[in-house]
Amino acid sequence: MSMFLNQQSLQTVDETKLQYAEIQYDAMKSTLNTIFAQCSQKCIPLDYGENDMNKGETVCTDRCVSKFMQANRLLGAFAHRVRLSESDLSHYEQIKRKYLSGN
Amino acid sequence: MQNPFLPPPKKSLQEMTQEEQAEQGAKQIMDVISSCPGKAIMSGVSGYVLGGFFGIFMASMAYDTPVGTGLQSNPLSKMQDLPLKQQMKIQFKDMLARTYSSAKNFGYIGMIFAGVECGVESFRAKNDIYNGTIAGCITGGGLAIKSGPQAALFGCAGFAAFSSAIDVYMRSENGRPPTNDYDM
Repeated sequence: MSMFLNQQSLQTVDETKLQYAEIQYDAMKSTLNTIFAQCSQKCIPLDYGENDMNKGETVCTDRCVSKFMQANRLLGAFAHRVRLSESDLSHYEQIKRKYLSGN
Repeated sequence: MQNPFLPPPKKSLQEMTQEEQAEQGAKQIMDVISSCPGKAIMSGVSGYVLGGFFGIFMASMAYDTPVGTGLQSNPLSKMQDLPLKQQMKIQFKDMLARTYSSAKNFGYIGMIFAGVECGVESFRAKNDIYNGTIAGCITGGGLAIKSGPQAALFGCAGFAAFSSAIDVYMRSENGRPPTNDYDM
């Protein structure tokens, strides 16, 4: 309904806010995907016979996610304190290139 | 920005609709049943019932053990000389005692095994056959510990081997899922 009331505000979207939102979305998406990949690799074996998770798998996933979020929080605080930026992680470009070239 | 990984805030019981209340209740029941004490109690109760049936069956098969008459007045009278109702009462008491002892044993076995296995699995955070082995050893050893250390050792080994065999059989069907549904 707001598109009928304020035609003017529809055109102007704050660019910086949009960028912030995109960065936050990327960060959370990558965190969630890494949690899924890592914890399922560590906790859920490839052999199973039923569709429900066992007690061991449930407990392992709980602990894995909790540890991951703790580590994520600590590293985020550290990165914020030392003002980590992309230029500090320039060596990752070489690793990525090597990984993608199939070595 | 709020953490999107956290679950949504809980609603109190009155705010939920009927469906959601039923879902919440079912979820609570499932949580209790799948917890370690719940598993131990359920296994103990089912072991008790199974032991009761087993005891009744075994008591009905054991016709060769002599049962005392229990009569103080006539110690020389045999069982067959008593009236039918008395015979039935004595046999029934004996059968009840056997059933109760068998049920108690099986109930203990079930409760201890399920409880220890669930606890060991929660501690190790892994699901493999060694949980059953450890739980079997503790169950067998714990039940036989009154008869001395050697009996406890044999009980541990026997129960652990039995539990491992059953687990290996149950897991023989597990495996990786097929990559697609077409070429099996």
